[in-house]
Amino acid sequence: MAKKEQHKDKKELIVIGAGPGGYRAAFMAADLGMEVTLIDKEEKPGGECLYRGCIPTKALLHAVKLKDAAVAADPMGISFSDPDMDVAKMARWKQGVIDKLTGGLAGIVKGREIEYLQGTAKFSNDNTVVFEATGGKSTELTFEQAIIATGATPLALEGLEPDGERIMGSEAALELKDVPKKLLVVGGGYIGLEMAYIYHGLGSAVSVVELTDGFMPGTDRDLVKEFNRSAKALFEDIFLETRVKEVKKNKTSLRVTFEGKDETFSKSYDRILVAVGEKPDHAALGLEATGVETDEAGFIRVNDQQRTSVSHIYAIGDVAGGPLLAHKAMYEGRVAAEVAAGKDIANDARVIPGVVYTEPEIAFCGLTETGAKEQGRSYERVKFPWAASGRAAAMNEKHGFTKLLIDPESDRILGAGIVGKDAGDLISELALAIEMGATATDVALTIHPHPTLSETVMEAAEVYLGTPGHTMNKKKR
Amino acid sequence: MKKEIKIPDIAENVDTGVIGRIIVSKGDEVKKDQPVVEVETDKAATDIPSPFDGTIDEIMVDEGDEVSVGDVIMIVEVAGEEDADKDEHAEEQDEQGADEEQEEHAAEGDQEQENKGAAGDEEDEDREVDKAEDEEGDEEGKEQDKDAEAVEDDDEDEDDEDSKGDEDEKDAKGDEDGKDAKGDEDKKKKAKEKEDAGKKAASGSGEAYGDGKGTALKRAAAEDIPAAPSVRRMAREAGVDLAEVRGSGPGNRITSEDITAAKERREAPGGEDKKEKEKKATGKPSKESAAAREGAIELPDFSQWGDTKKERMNTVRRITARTMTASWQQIPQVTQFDEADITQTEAFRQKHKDDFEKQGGKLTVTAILLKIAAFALQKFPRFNASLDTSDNTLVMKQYINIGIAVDTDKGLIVPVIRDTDKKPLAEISVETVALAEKARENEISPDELQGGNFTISNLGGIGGTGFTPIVYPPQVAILGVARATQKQVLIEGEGRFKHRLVLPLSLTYDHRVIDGADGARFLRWICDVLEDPYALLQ
Repeated sequence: MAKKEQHKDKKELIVIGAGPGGYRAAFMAADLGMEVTLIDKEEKPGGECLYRGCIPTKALLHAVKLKDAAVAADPMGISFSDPDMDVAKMARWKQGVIDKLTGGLAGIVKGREIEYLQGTAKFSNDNTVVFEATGGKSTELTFEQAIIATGATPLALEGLEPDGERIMGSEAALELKDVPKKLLVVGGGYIGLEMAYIYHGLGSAVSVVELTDGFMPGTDRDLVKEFNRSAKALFEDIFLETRVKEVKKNKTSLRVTFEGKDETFSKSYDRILVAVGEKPDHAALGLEATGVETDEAGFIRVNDQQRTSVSHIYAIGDVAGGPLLAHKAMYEGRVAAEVAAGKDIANDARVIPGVVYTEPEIAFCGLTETGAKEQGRSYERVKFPWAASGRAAAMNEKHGFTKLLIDPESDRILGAGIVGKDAGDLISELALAIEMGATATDVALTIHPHPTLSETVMEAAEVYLGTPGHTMNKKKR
Repeated sequence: MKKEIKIPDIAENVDTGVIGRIIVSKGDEVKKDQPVVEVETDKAATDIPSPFDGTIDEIMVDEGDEVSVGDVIMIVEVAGEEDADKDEHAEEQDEQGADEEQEEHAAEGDQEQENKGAAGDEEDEDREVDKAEDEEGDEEGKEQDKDAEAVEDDDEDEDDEDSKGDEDEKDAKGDEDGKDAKGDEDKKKKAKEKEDAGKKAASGSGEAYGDGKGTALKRAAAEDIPAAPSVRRMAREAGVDLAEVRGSGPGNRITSEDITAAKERREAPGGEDKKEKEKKATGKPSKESAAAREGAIELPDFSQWGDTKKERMNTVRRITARTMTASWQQIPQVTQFDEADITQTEAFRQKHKDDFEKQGGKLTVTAILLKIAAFALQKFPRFNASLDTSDNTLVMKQYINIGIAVDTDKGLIVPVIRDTDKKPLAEISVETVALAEKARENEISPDELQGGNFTISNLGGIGGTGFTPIVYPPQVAILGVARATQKQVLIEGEGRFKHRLVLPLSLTYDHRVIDGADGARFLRWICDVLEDPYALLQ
């Protein structure tokens, strides 16, 4: 197959960053007939998601959950002696997963005849970037259109900057260099909690410190509450409404001084993992040489076609703000690519689901109760407790519920929140339902297989309609 | 907080209407029940009142927009935190009674509620409420403060509406600037296509780039329209505004067929698209195309001969124009003329008019004719019918409602007297006065203008010897009354003249349903009864 002719003088479309947003945009643009140049500092596509984020964490979480499940199998008549944890082997396996997936992406890049350039790019004006190949020379590339997909980097806290040793960011933590005896996780958001879960599974005694008054700020409290039940067993200490005031690096330990609501106290740890959020990564991009504008938080401003203030330059994914999620980046990637290819479409996704991959998993999409209150939006809420689910019982699952938020006038599904095993795999049905404008009746009348966890979605809809299949009917409709 | 004003149920069997005059402007203070917009239906023009006190925050419609019952037309900023809806949650217990859940409130925007905890639960009539378990760290309903530093990815707020950064908002109408870019796309060779596409893509179509701070409510309104992603794309490609499409799917879901239909409606002659008129850069003046659409006569440029002034047609005028045009175009009408000797009727009138006035009515020729017409419609049932062209049947009505044409300063209004056959003359005379007054005071409701089987139009008070009224669809006949005059009448058989009061009557009828002989018979019968009420007994 003859390689597509590359215009040496002007690139039709360059995509800077080959993470989920970037590679998705590149693949889509190529499918639509554009000549794409994809630039990334890694040898293969994947970005933070594959190398340092989504994939490695989910791989490790799976391993740890597997161990936890095995250890808890005794009531079912299966018991194990204490498992042997070969952390180095686990790390190698995890790396294997990463390699397999990034390899696959590299293959797709070739298959779609996308020009992949390993290195960095920096804008010199609205139509030119200087590309610096990894360990090589610089070339000037002019382009007709560009998509910025450079993602975000972890925020550093003063006094808690990763030092390559005992204070880790999530990237270092995923290398599994060792299993600290006592680990402090700074940040009670989903990244902090997932990392905490992993390390607890590996054998560390984990404590968490969080600035707000609960885990996962912004997430509906009832979902978090369900998680909290198991969290108590997970953590040695949970410090809420507390900040880290000071860290003293002693020879054998880290002495952390906390400032809580009412008191100041100190504790010692072997390692600290910092997961307090991310900021957009474009410092080295040279945006100041372009007309591209950013907002107060530094995210690149875009419109509903992912265009920046320079209309032929797009920005997608984490660097453009919004929920910092890979699937959101992927969707924006395809929107930007389609627009760049000339389609008159826009980003009109109504639902961006979110999943926290702890055990129990938490998943939600659409309207949240927190969001509804902010907007003054009315809704009716129904819950189906997994204690009434045949499948959950057969899986010996003790926790979980499926919650639906429904518009009382039209009966349409507005939002959903699910806590429990594999909640993340159950939420997509609701995402589709909301996008399609499905009503509770639509969901209730769609036959869901029995016995499954997905059935709980149908059951929740039936609760709303007043004729639940597996719980007592309390409504007088 | 912001509240929505929606189109209420205007009248029975009325689902849609057209926005007439928008009475208020953004920023105006309004009181509860103050009219904010005029909506025209086929029957009448109605004022829609504001259900709240407040300030007009946003007006979502334009004059001429088609709206349906339930459509949001305005947003009012209402002071205070009153909750329109309280929402309740059913606690579902499993059969073992294990209490898994807590009952929580979803009071809108009411922060105090959460502190009341379990005790503050409110009941919805449909759902039972179980008491909330107080667990430590119960943060139910509290807003989460986002630390300024924690520019969050930890924030799992999946509510798109809040967290799409500074992405420019979808405005409620979802309209795009630069729609003309679509017109630039041409179906040429691939290379040229790409070049054009590239140019277009680079030229920046799509929503105007701005600071992206639309109101959450505006977004909510747009996103509230149920339409699948594929349908949304289709709408955008077709240049159809989702807010203007009536969904035919369950739950008012907009289907792809709805989009196709909306597109065809817009493109077809006779279709109206205000935005199309404004935004299409086709070079044809919109006035010309509007005229062509309605098959109307194109107006010349009057300024050639002198000055002109433009005056807006009010809603009544517009409705009348529409109705009369439809009648004229669709109903083959014939007018039958006759005269009645109402000397005796007039004597009767003079004798009893004071009695009637005491009862609050006015004994007029119209009132008398209403009663006689009611008898006539019973005797000649085909005049009390409507023609159903869809299956070539006559809808024979088993009731008798008759309308009377009233001249008001707004125009011609036809209130209907229901069950004219069942009411005595006194009651009819009172009702006639009352309805006419209501019509002139502009207080008549659409219900009072509907349901007529037959109409009487009396212009005698003004003068004239006769006229040809136009049948008011879906009726099949109408009686016109001109001025009674004293005439010299030759008394047959006596060879002499007498002065008689003679009333000219004209009956226009739908010739698809009524033939000349029927028309003549009907009108003659009325005249006979006027001349000799004993004819009623025959």
